[in-house]
Amino acid sequence: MKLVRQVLLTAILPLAAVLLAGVWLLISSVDKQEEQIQQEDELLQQIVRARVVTLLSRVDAASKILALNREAVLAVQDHNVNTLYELGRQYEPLQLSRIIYLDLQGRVLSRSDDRYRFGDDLSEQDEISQLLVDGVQAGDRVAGLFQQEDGFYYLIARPVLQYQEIPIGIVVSQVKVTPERLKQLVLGTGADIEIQIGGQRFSSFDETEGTRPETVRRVVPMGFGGRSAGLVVEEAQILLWPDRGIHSVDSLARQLLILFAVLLILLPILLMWILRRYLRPYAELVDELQQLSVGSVDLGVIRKTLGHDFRDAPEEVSRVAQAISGMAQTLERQMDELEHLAVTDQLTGLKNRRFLTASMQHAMARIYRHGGELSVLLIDLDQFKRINDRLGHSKGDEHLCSVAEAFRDNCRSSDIIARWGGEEFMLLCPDLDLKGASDLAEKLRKLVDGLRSDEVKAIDPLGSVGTLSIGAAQWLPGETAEQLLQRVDRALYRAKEGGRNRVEICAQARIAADLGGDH
Amino acid sequence: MAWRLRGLSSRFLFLISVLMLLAVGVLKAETRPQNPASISLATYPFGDAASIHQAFSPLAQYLETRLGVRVNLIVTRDYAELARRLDEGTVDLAWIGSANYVSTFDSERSPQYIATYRERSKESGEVHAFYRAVILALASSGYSGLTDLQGKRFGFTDPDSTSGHAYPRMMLEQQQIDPEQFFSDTYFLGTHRSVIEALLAGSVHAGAVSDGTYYTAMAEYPGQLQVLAWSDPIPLDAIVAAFDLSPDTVAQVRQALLDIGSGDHPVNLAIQQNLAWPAAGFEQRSAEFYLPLKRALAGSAVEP
Repeated sequence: MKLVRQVLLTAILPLAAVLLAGVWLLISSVDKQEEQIQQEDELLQQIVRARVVTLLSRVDAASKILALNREAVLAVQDHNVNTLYELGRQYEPLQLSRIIYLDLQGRVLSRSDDRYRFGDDLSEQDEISQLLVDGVQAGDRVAGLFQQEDGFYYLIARPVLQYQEIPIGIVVSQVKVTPERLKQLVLGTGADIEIQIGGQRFSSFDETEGTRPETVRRVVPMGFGGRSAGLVVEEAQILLWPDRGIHSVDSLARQLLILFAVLLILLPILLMWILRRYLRPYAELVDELQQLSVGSVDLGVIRKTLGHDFRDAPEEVSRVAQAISGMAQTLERQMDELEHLAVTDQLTGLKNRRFLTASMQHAMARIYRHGGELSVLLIDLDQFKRINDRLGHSKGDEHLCSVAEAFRDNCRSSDIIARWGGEEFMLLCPDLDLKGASDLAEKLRKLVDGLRSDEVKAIDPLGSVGTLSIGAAQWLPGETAEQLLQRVDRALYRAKEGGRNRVEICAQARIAADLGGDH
Repeated sequence: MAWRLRGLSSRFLFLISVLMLLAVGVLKAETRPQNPASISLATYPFGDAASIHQAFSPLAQYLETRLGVRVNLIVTRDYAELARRLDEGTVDLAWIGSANYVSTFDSERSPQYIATYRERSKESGEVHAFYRAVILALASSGYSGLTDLQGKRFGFTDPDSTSGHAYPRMMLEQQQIDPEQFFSDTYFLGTHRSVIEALLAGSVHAGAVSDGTYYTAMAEYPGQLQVLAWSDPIPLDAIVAAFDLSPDTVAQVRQALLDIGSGDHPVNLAIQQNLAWPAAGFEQRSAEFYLPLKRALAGSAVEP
């Protein structure tokens, strides 16, 4: 885990540093842009104001020209509706809403936006009545915002002058206050304008399109100073929307910050997961080796585990596991050999006394748990010393081996045959009662008696050289191993005493005597 | 010496005078050849030049065939140029409006009358060399005659219009009506169509238009208009010849025009298709046919 932590720190710290540097750069860039945008805002306000002034000047200029136009003067005199209409239409490029000509009684001679509507009386309308109230004079002029039947207009009304001094009619140039007109004022600026006249609000933006005033970045009040003959602009303001560029940078910065935070949280988790996943086989290998080192598992288990469980591990781990498994196998084999040597008699290949003693304890413990019987045979080769002395040790060893061979061939696989010492053997026969043990002993005695070599027999043709004297006993529950060995040893002693080449059993009747110590 | 000088001066002056008289005589004697290689047919741009060319080219070609000389079609810059060239004799034949024609009557070099253009009435199917002016009001107005229009607003078409101003004014004056006094306001609305639209919009209570405009409006707004008065016939356009074109050529041209007839002659069809006029050939009237128009125009002080 220390490795994992180091890897995590190595990976995360530089990343975090880079991310923080990126965030800092972004934030400083946004700050600079905001400064620039403030300057642009100022410029934008000036542009919008200039456009308003230009529009109003255009209205004034149109009315001045049309009031003095010679053709217009003649047409007003003649009530030539068509000519006046055409003259008004000529001012369409100036984007005026309409031009109205009236006679001195306030009756309409022409409307540039409605060719066939004229003759109606507008003398009661504010802007006209202001001109007519004291009789129209050459220098009269009415300018301002006025409400008309179809909306609010900024207009300038002035007399049409014959010979540039005699009023013969009135010309009114008008610009209607509409969202479209306001849009033209802010066209290309990215801003919007909103004004309120006579309690009615006009905006250059369409709120139904999803643009909400709440999203306005900045509101700049706009003054319409000066005296006006008509209505006043109750409120005017320029709405500066979040700049698309800075908005996107802002948004990008926010998104990056969130992304960085998520990365800083997720990346260690991800790295941890990857590292754990990658290092898990190493950890498991280490665990296995630790278990081996503390001896809590067998070498065989370790070998199998390493050889099988790490087969799909990363190649390095798999190779290490296979190597260790091989080493474990070698070690296991050598230990088996050592163990075999430790419990085996070198000459006969039978088990040795230590093994048989331990096996006797196990057998007894098993009978305590599961029940059953256990018998032992203690066997001694009669006058074996004479064989060694007469025929030499090699012949003696040869006879020992042939006897051991006979035991192996005629005992059950569950029986444990051990060389007890010198020319003594002991058979541990699980699940065999005393009768069975006696029969087995007798069988073995006769067998060995018969297999003796002529050389052995020749030592004492009438005696019992190389035959077997056997003591047999059945273990009694509650009896210790030493007690059982004492009893069978006594039985063997009796067999020796009784003339050798015979079997003596330690029957129930003899138990008390044997235990009594009449040895 | 003084006498001699005076005598010399007198002889010199006499000689100069004789030479001048001879020069005038030569000039006066300069006339158009009897058999010109080509003649020109001129009109002025009352519509777009391309349409006029397409409308009158078949007429020029037709005359070429009939006269056996090349006929060049000329569209002048305006009527003034056409009038000037007729007077100068730099065009031979001209198609001119009736009001323009009567304005030439007092000229020393007044053009020679050849024929009058005819149209077929869309409503009756009749062929006439004249049309009429009508004074209209809305059918719903309840007016029954011109006298009902006192104190009302009245619309003429154009001060220069024959049927939209001159004849209606004459009609009113024949009934002792002075428009400026009789009506509350009079307006000039530019076109015949504008008078109809202004009537329907209620801007004027009555107005004057040509009968063709009235028939078209009746088809478009059936039952909405009523006629308060009809004018006398107003002669249609005249085809005239320069004052000095030979009588033979004039006669040949006249006959050619009369031969076109009122049917589907290429000349009629071209005019119908390109100018949307219901052309139906030509007929011979006389200069007197145009005199009432001259009086009407003089009465309305119209300068055609």
